[in-house]
Amino acid sequence: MNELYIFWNIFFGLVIILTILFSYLLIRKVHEIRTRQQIEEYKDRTRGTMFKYLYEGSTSRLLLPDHPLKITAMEELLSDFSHIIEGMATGERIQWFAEKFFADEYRKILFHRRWSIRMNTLYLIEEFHMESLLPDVLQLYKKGHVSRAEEGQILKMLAVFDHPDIFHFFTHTKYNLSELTYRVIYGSLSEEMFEQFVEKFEELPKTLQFTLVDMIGIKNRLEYGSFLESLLTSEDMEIRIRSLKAISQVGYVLPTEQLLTHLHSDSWPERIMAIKICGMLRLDEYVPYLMELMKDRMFQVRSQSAQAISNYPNGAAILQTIIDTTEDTFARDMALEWLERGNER
Amino acid sequence: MTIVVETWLTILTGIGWFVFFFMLFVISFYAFLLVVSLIDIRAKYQLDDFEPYEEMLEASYTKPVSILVPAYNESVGIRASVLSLLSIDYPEYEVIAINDGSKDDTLQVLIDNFDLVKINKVIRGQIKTKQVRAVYQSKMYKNLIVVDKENGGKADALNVGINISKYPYFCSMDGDSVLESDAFLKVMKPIIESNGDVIVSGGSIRIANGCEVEGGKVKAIGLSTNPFVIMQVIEYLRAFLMGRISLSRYNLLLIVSGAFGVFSRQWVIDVGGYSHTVGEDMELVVKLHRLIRERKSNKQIVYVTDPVCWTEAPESMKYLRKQRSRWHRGLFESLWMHRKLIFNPKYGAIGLVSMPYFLIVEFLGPVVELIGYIVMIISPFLGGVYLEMAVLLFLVSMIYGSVFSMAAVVLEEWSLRKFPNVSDITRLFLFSLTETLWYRPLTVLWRCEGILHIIRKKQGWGEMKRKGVSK
Repeated sequence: MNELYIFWNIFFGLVIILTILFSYLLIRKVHEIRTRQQIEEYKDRTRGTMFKYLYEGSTSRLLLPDHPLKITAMEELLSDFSHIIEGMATGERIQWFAEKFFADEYRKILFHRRWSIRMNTLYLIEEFHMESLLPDVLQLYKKGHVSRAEEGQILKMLAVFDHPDIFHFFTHTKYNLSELTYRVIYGSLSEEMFEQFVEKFEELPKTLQFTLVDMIGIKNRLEYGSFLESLLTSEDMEIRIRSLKAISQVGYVLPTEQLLTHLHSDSWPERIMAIKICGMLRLDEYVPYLMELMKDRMFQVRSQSAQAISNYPNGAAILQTIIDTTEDTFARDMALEWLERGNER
Repeated sequence: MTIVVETWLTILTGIGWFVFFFMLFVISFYAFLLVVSLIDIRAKYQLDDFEPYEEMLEASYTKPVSILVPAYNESVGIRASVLSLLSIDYPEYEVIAINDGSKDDTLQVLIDNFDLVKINKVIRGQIKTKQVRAVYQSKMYKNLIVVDKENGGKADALNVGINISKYPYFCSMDGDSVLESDAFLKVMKPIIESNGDVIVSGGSIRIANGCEVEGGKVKAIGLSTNPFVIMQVIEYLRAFLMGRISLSRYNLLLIVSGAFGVFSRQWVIDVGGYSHTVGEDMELVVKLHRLIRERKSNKQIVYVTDPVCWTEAPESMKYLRKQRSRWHRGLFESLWMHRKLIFNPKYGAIGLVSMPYFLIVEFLGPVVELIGYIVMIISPFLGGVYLEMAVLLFLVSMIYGSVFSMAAVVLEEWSLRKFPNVSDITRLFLFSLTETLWYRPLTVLWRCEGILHIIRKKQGWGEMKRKGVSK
């Protein structure tokens, strides 16, 4: 019968597929366990020698990666050590070793078809600080079809290696990178480069402006305080909010007049950030405004005000006054919560 | 007489063909999912998984998360799970344990172990919930909050947690599961990388039975010897590695496991929080998809393969049966409450692909399969060609199931979490061959039982309808 014949064929086809799958899994597992063992053996045998090389610079034939598995073993050893030991000399030795023995291989696999291999290579080039591969990395980048993650990593490497054209690359990205990536790249820039970015602030795309402001706050760069203040006149609300946040982080003293306009802003995130600055500077003249803001219609604003007040040396007394005098139940509840939280400290 | 027999045979053949084509449709759908997953996982094969997360460990780069742990009568396990959550690798987070009016001493265990003191916390009632009795804070861990509330069910407990949480994202956790220490970094990555376009990110679930778990951490991966557990291991691999990767790729994902998922607090509040259903986790995701479409927003719900939450699977038939029947009821409730979406082009791919898939394949599939099994059992008595046909059909279904199972194991081997021994692979293979003989029919029966439960509790429907409207 025709149908039966078809079924038999399907059945045998499936059996063949299943056999292939199962054999693949088995062979792979056996192979994997064995290579892992060999790599571990190599690592155990050379760990001491590698340590001596990194500390004293004494080379040995034992470290010669003359076998593909040995390359992997050396890579892992170097990577482990680079996380543990610090110091200029060691860093240079790691770089020298990697450039001598891994560079040729990396130059090839940097253009591998599989994404994960390219990605791993990029990570290793950065980790071992292999500057000699920078032209190859740039070639990969310019060639066109890199992924978003690769672009982020490549730009970060350009920042780490202090590439002169970083500004151009950074402002002309192929993808919309995430704010996290931008921050990481800003964080890897040298002082001089970072300053250049601040100087050319107006030329930057919006996201780059936002993250640059964030980074000033995160890195606590008080020297850019007046720059942040100048941004507060911006038309863009997001810029104002982020600048206020950064100001509260670096501890820059804002003129009271200026602060008041933001405390009374129509946008509640802006009010919150301004309140944060009050809580950080803790000047007596802010207290009446903060007490007023405890009656704000936004929960977050009330909460932030109470927190700012509890930061004051006499914060508990102020909160107690609010509890005793106010008719606003929202303000009283919030004051109660923060009075208690203050006591815990 | 012969006419009766012949009619019978025709009907039987008809049913047989129907079942056959239904299965063919299901298999091709699965095959499609498999191919998408294979391509996706292969690209990430052997990626060094530490490097990308190094930077994220710095607080200023990430977004803080509130972890919600609802607890009802869990005085035995609650201490360990809270402790393990307090030691995860994440820069900024708070743990909120919610005692849902337990009848045992869950609350007292927490108070004693974590040095809790009552605080006057102002709670924003953004979602309506049962009364909160008291809020406590730990003196030892400032980021641990414990809420004591009137009993109202898991959904209600989670909603209270959402009201109290102070961070923009929250994660729901089952009390009895164990997280890998970097799981949070990994599950948060898509949210951070997308600048907030991802509003839900779900991780993988694996089965902890057979693994070595110590101090709230998985020390060594192993495979249990219990047949029910091994079958569930295979099931989970298939579900997570094959199904969810591909569905997530097309923003079609309807299930983010209640045991491990991160949600945008604001979006969940906008849909009114969790609903009081059996499958509150699926229902929430459907609601979120619905709101995304209604707002014409480009927000996404994604699944990430790598971060894993290890959970304990039922080892006995009794509890497995209860679990499956409950899951099936939960699935039905989500489908029923949002039946408006099914085949509704206004909801795009969710209405045209995801919802119909869950209705036809996941919900009604077991019924069709049950009919298939019955036909297979009857046919031998009719003799001749039908016997051979039945045996063949059976063999084919046995093999095709194993092919998918082994493909899922290949996917797992290509990712970072692996079974350590050759014997584990062999055992997975052998057990997958037996699936059609016992495990599959059993789960089909249990799921059909779930449908029976739905039909029998007729009044339950009315109740659900009311909730669907008040959303």
